Amino acid sequence: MFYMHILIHEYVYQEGTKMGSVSPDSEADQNKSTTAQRSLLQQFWKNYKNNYLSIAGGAIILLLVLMALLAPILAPHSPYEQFETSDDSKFHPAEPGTEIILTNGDGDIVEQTTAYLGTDNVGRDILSRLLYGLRTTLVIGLSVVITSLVIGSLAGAIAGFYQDSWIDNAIMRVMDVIFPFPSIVLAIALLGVVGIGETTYSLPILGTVAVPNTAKIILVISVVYIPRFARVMRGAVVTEMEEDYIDALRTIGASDFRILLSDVIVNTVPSVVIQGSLYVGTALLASAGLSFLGLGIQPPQASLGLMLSNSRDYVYSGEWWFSVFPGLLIAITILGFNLLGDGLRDALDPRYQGEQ
Amino acid sequence: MLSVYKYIIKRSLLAIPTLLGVSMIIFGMLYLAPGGPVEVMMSSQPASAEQIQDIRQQLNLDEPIYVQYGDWAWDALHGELGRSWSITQGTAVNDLIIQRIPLTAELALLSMILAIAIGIPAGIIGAVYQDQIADHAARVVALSGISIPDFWLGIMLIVVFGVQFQISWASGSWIPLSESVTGNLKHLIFPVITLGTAYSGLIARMMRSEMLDALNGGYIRTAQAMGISNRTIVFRDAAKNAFIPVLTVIGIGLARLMNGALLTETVFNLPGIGQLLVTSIARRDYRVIQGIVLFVAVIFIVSNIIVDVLYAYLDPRIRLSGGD
Amino acid sequence: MLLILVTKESNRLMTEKILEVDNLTTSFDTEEGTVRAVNNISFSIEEGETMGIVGESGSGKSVTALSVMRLIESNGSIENGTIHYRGSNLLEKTESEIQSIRGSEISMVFQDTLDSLNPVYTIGTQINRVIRKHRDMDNKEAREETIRLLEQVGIPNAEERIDDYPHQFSGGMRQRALIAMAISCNPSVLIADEPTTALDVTIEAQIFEVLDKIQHETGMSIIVITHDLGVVAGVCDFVNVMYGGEIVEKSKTDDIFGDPQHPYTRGLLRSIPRIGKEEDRLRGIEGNVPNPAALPSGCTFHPRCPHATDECRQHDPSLQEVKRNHRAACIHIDGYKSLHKEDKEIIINDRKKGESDD
Repeated sequence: MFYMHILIHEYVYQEGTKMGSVSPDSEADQNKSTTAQRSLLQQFWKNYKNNYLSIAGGAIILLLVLMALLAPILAPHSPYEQFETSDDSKFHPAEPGTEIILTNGDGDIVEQTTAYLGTDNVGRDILSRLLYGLRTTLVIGLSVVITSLVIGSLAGAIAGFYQDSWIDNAIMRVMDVIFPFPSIVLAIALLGVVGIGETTYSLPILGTVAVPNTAKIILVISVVYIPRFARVMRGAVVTEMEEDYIDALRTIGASDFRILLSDVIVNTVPSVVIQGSLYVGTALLASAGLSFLGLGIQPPQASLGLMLSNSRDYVYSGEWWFSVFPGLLIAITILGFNLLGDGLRDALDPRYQGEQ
Repeated sequence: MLSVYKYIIKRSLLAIPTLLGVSMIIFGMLYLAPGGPVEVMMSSQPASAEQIQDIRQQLNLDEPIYVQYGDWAWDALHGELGRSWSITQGTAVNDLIIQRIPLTAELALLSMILAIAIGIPAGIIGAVYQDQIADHAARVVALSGISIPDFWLGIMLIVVFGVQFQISWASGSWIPLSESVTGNLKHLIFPVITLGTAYSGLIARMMRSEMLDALNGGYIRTAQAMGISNRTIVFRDAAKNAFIPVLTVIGIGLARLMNGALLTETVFNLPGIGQLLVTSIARRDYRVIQGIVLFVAVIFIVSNIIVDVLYAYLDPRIRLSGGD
Repeated sequence: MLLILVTKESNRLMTEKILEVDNLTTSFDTEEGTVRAVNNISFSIEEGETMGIVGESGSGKSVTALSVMRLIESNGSIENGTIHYRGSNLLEKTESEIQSIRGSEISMVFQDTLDSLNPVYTIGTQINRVIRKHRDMDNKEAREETIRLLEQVGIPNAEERIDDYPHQFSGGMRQRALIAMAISCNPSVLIADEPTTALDVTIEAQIFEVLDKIQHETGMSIIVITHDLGVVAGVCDFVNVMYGGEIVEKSKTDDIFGDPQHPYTRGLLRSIPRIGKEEDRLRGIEGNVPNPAALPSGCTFHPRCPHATDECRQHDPSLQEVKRNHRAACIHIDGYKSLHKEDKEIIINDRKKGESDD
């Protein structure tokens, strides 16, 4: 192995998956995978249920997801509408509690309301933008993890299944090359390839395909996390392949593909999913960072990182609300995912108990 | 000690294929841009097909890609990263990087020192006083460090200290070390706090968990049974064992530090490598992007070797087995 | 009878009780509630004596040793009892007082696991610092003493191997190094907790030879904690048999092996494989060691005891002298005060049967 931390990674993982093999020996070999899984789940729940901090993290996430889903209902305004202040002596960004008005082309007041969390530099309601921004941010964070989890796990599973073969070597060497890069540097370099903003590609067979900016961002950040999942999955599969029931399945004539898909992957999925929950926070951070640099989500779309980026010019002039609220919401979101993920991992691998 | 040298050589040789792979990807990647690099670069300004062809020729882009890569890699091997394509056209990428590296290096180094100075003791305290008030406090600090986006922390520091308390050096422009040592350090205080605290959380968590592991080791019980004092046991027996794996986190954390540096430089308007990369992306200055990314990759590969060698040096089990 | 039964004569005058443990009770707070790992046990050891504490894992034997060392983990406490070392109660000592006793007066050898020695320091460094902690020696003197100790425990090339790291030693060599460390400050009492469990039989014999030799040279007392009756037979003068946190039988080694009283001891003895008895199936004791968090009522052994009666389920027998210098805790033994006539016959019959088996 090339980097020492890879060893640690795999080591941690193998430790984590060992629990799956602690099952009553009296069961027949064929039943072993399901028994192992059941006892793993029971053990998991027993370890997890008293971790109130982690459950609190889960509750935070649930609440945030609901807020994001219900943004159209909860948000007092459209995130794009530009208000004016009713008091002429006040300018945007206007402080929290400012009365704001919306006028039509003739100068008539269409709507009069209060900006509870203030307005941004062009008069958009911060509260509304926060809710929609949370939406974008969560979608990106979760999509990144799902994308990299699926691709990475598949690559890792294949590598682990054909351990030490040329496929394994080819896959893992590519992962080794990607792994050491700082996530944002890699994402930026990839953005250099795909360009920022929506792009239309002319592809053979498919014709012209318009790729939205959000999809690009998800893709470039996903690349960063693929090697992580691949390593975890490979470690888990290699351990799993040493179990006796694999030999039993081979004897009864199960094909490689069937064994890999229906037995090995099924048994290793819980560990990988939990690993995934740990990466949502960092993926969110990376995407917010990218938007903060102006290279992620593009205006006028609302995103928490972009709001922070816009607020930079107003930091020195004292418009604190513009930067405080989006950052706070990012911090709470990441905290929620960290609490949840830590607890899940602790429950899967009690070696980490209490590490929060 | 001979084995240590052997290990360093072996480890360095192993890095060559990775470096080769990394450089190929870095080079090839930027040519995958739809429509070709020049077209993308020029997309914001009107340019005729002849103009584009002109530029392509100037930049040697009509050669087969492997020839271009060969030229670039050969130069890179000799420390020449080519010349900028864009507004700063003609400026050697080397010069651009060399100009900006002192700041980024200083920021990263100081942040690393701060992170270790906070993280290691916090981790030890957390493990020794497991589940007591000190532990909870250390955990809250660590978790906040990890959860609070560093760029936001930087903004908040400016809001509180720069704006509310009117501390001039909380924001404002950077002074090179050669001009004024105190001025330079003063202006780096807040960037270093921003970057260092985020990273200290990571170290504290790992140190705590490794300390807990180490404190459960059989050798701790042996030492206790021999009447060795608790202080010695914690600092000499447990901490040394716990620190070895933490060292790898410090190594991995370098990547995070680089991310953070990028963002922190933007927040505090510091003219470092990060800022150069961000502006180069905006300008589509591929040669500069390639140069920086390769430079960063080399730094990472080298620092990983250093970490592994240090690891091997500290852990006799690896040192004496030649690192397998 | 036992093939490996060795009688050990102690030709010293045994007068001074060097360590006296009285009514020791140690409990732990666990998720399942308070667990009494050691329940009201007493024993003592004289100078130059070797005493065995034997029992299955979970019987409380290791906790007994750790209680004497005052090394009970933070979730455990010594609820009751006294531990007198040379007349003073160890339980009343401050932490720094006990630290100066540990390693120098009372020392302990643990079972060699891969990490019983610190992997990042050399063997020499680790022994050296114990010597310098308790004895007035400078670094150079301590190093020479360390080399002498390593030679004493039978490590060849001690002068070179002193600078080796633990992973460069074999299991047997590490165990010797642990012994060298434990005896480095001439302790009066050495507690050896499963000192040879991880080792193969030939190495085991060598280790005990080393211990025996050192005992002869220094006159220290040794407490051997083991699950292996073979070890006890080989090295101990006295034996305490522990079950469920209690001592259920104690006597001279010869008497325990020659005429075991408690059904548990007899079960243990029957479970030892014997050479030359091919057809005889190895007979273990049915059932498992009880969970210390949910000990059975009455006699803790009753669920596994072939002679258990209603009285056993209700009455927790205390340790009583059933023969001269031979104590056991079972109501079904000749000489035990509350013995029922019928049970006595069952036991006698059973014993006859057992003897004819042999």
